Amino acid sequence: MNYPLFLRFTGTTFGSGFAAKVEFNGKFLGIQDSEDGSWWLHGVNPSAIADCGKTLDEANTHLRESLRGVLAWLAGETDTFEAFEASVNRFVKTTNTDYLADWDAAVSRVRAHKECIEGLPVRAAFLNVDVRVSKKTMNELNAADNSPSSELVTPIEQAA
Amino acid sequence: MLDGCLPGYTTVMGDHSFTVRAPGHEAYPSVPLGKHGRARETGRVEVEFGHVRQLARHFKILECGRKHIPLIKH
Repeated sequence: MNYPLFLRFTGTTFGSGFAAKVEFNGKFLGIQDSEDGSWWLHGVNPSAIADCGKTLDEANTHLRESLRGVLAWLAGETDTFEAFEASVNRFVKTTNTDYLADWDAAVSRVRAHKECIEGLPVRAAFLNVDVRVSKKTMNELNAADNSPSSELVTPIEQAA
Repeated sequence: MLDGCLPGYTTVMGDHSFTVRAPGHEAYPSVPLGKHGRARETGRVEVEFGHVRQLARHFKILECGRKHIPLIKH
């Protein structure tokens, strides 16, 4: 079964001479295996990532770690904050058009049947994919920057 | 699959994953190397089907990919 999901990611990445706070809302298609109940999270925005787990929570944890790795890789590929910001924007906003079609179909289905995944917050499906990358100063850094966060929400409500 | 479906592609190994680049596409930077980094020891990468599916859809080579790996689902 396919479920449309939004992922809200927040994390800090270190690059050449800068620290950056990265926040984005992305679209993921959650696919639960009908036999063993495991989950895959396939990226729609961003297109170039997927991850899995025995549970949805575990899949989210694995995906969060993979995203942290991708952001570190992007930071290593760029020399300036501005170049990193542009790379992160491209990464998140590149759309996987095949999975977008599946995501849109899944949104229609869960709206029609009022389906939801137990334990996940429900949000409006018109939430936009967006990215915000901002510089962090030394004084703004703290221990929490060692741990990115990511929350999955399911878009079932109609737009107002 | 990549040899047959993605002309001009290159791969770069990272610590825990490898990156696939191809002309005209955004890079795919998150293909896991497999449990315990076995790829580094064996030179052979074992990638789960879900990652292959995502990769194929990202580079828009799903149909071609099925000719090489028929088990790739939609």
